[in-house]
Amino acid sequence: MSISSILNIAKSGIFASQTALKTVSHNLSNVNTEGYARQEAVMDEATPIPSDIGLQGNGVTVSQVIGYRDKFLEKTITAKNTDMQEQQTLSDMFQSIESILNEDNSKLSNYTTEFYNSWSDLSTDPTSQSARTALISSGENLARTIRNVYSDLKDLQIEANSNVRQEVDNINRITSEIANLNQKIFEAGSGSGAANDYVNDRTELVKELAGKLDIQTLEDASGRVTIMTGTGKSLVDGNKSYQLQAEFDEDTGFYGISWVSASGKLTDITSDINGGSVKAYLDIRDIYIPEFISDLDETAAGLIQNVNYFHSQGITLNGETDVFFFEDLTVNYAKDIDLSDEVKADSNSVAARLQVIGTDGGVQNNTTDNSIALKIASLGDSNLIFTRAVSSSFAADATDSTDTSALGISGSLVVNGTAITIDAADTIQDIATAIDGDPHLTGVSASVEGNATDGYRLVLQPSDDRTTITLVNGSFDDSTDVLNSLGFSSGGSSFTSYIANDQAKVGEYTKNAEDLLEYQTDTMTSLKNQRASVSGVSLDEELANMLKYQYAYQAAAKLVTLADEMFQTLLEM
Amino acid sequence: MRVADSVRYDSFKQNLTRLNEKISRTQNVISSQKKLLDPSDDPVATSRSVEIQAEQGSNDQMKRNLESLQTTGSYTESALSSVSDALNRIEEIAVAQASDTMNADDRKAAVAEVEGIIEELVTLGNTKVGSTYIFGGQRSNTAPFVLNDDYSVDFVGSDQVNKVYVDRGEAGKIESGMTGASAFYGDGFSIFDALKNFRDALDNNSEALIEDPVADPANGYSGTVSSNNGNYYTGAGNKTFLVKITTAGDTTGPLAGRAQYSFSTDGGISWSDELAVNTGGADTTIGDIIIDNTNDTFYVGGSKIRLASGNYTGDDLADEIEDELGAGYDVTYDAGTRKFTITNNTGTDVAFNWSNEGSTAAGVLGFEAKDDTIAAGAANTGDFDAGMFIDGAGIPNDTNGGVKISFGAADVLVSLSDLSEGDQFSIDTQTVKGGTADAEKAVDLVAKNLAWIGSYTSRIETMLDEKETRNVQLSEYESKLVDADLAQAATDLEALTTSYQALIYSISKIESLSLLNYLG
Repeated sequence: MSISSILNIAKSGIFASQTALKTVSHNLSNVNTEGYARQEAVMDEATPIPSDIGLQGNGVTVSQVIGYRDKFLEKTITAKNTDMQEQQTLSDMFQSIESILNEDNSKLSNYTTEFYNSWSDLSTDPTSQSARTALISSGENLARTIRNVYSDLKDLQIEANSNVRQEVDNINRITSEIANLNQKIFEAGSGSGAANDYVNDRTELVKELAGKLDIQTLEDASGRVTIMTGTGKSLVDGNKSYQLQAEFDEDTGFYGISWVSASGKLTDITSDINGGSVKAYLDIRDIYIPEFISDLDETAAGLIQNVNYFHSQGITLNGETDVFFFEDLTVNYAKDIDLSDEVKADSNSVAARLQVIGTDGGVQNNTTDNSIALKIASLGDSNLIFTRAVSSSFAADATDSTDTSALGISGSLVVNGTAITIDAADTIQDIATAIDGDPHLTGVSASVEGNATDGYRLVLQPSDDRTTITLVNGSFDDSTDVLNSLGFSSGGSSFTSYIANDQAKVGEYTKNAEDLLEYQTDTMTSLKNQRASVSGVSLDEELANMLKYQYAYQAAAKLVTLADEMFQTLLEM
Repeated sequence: MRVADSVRYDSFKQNLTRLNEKISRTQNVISSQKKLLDPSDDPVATSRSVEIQAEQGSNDQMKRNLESLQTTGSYTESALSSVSDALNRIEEIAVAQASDTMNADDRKAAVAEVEGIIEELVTLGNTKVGSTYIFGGQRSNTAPFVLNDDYSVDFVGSDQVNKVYVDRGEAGKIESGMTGASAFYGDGFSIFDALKNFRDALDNNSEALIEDPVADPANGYSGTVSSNNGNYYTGAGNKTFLVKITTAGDTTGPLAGRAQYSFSTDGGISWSDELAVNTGGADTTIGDIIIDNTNDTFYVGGSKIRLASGNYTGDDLADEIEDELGAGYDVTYDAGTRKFTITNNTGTDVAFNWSNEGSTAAGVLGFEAKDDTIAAGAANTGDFDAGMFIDGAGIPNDTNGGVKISFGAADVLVSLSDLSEGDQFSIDTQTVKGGTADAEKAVDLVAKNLAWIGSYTSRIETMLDEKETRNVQLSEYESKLVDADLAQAATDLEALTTSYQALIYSISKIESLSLLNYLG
């Protein structure tokens, strides 16, 4: 046992305390670092040295610097982040849709009401130029508003689409960083402070990645993490990362997401993504916005077809018939809705009157009749049905229950603006055949379904997704009775209730996303608090530790002084 | 549990953020005075509010429509009341000019005034609201009344009137005022034609047209005029068919009621020769009573009895009836009372079904159209004179006293209760022309239209009130759905501000609790 060994022991104490203080200062300086896990220098006795009195202590060593981390909690937080980011994105996007559709901003219902009111105004003075000008301007307002709402929704859809692409870029960046960190952690080996910091960084990155899409993670023995998509496509494997690619689809105009294998082969995984912000953008792009766009399109289609149906039967002030009020569109109703060129060019091209046959049998072309204006004004009321596919709600002939007996109803049924005339002798099959056989009525096929026991019903099926079936009530002929007799609801949605329903729908979606987000945020907060109680830095604790190690340092230093004095004493002898 | 410092900050931060959000929302609520800022605040209420706003919008439109109708209505009302005033003046002129003291010159002078009134009426008929002729109907963009040089007036407007929505649904439409066709034209009657005729009558100094052709309204006839061949009277060019009894017939005896009459087809200017009225009832000459297939049937005990066609005297016919009834009946005719008496000797009660629809002989036999039961051994005498309803048409009753008169020359049959010498009665066939009667008719027509337009405007008034009430209700409803309770919001804001201050205070308190404060 030599004095120098005392110095050695003192030195080991000084070093250990220094290391511990260094860890404390690292903790203190990272008190606000997101995802930081506090570290602690773990001290062990140094290996004892044999002496004549047996093994004797040889000071202290710092065996490792550990990071306080609850892996289970980290994993839960990572998984939770997938849900939270999905709701966060949905909630943000819905708020945008909400602000587009909000009546306070869009004034869609307001302009619709004004449009029909203008027709009503015109009906009180059918030749008035000022009423016509006002009508055209309210028609333009309505058309413009529909176009604006459509293009706003479309812009948002495009934004969601480009966000999908950006997120794919982000995912690629994150996965390659994780792969890098995996390598560094592997190289640093566990137990070093540096490895702890890499793990902290990686945990944060995995959390960020989980916010973008649903992933599965597992850690291997050497601390490297393997990451796969929800359906098992590898994203990170050791120090290697796999890329995702945003593939532009010419047909839809949207990006799909493909996984790139090591050999460069692409696999479409768009529909396999089930969480995170990417899923939210995809849902918004492919489900929600198309739903609102299609509602708007149906509204616009109903508006164009119904107004045009009546308008083209009227006579303009210039004496023409078959003039459309709105441009006669067959697709992209909401996108392109506009007044017809005739009406835009000349307010006299608005037809307010119906052709009237005078008592002498001649056509009275100079009348100030207002039948057409009245008909169109009444469209504002609840008497329209627009549905994608409609079938009558009950068997057309309940007493006989066959499709071969005459229904005994006469009048007309207006489908997609084309009137189908029905005679009393017609059977339900005849009506279906008439609808199918009408050369002007394309895009709808009619069939009869049912059986002899339950009766038969008429089914109208649009031939493609963009066709809208519109059954008009209250036309010139007695189609109300016909609709009722065939079992079609005569109290369909009016334009206003259609708009109001969309308001309610977007409100519900937004509210739902916001409520879920709040729930997810609260859950996340509580998880983070739990995590902080394990991994977070407490200043008081660190300060106390600092004092502790400071005193230990002072004590070790004192020991050096003591050993020094012992040497002096020895040398002075 | 360890409390990490970052948690303390984070939770403060989170709580502060939430409080700030709430405060900002409450401030928005207060400044916008709306509690629903986004649809997601209350989706159902928002959509309801959109619908309410739309309903308010359409309600406002209905109000505007009603106000426009109100204008039309009040213009129509004032135009019609001016028309009424003008027609009253016509009536005064007619009464004045009908006087015998007026001569051709006086009447010529009145022509100018009548012409002036016609012009005034045309102007009134062409009243405009804005660019719309209110009496034009569905042709309101051109003047509906055109005055010709001869002071006749043509209506070139439409007899159809536009309808306008004042309420939702098909039933919510009402007429937009009235067309000139109903304002100036009655059933087969035209105010302008009447005025034109009156003007012409004054111009021609034709008194008969000017004076009242209905001398004694007590003798006025109202009912269906038919000829005995079953056709309605269709005489051409005659606006009035006048009949004057020149010599009354006997009041009793076989020839009672056989008066002499003459008739006029030109409003009383010229009269026909005297003619005999064939009242029936005479029984002494063969042919006084004619039985043919129009008047040969009656029912006894439900069985049809048919008289042989032919020309009869009263006695002859009594024999024929007896023959047809068969054994057990005795039928007699009394020439003094001109009634048949049927005696039942069959031994049982017998019902005579005079009310049977097929009982065409009831009139000519003088039995009222109600069933009689003749007891065994009893007799029943006719209710009225026999031979009246010899055409089998119509039924004798208390109103017409069982009397039917045939005007042979004009082929017209009329039933009247009483006629006396010098009386005149008119038979309305087509249109009465000229004079005060026409003026009265015109005044009546206009009064009727005035009453209609009066009720029309008051109906509009009521509906306007209803719309007003409905709008107030809708506003209240929407206010409940959307509007902020300001007192509540202000209280909320107060509470939130207090929480905010408390939170900040607690941060400062907790932050002072740190070991750092105790280290040298």
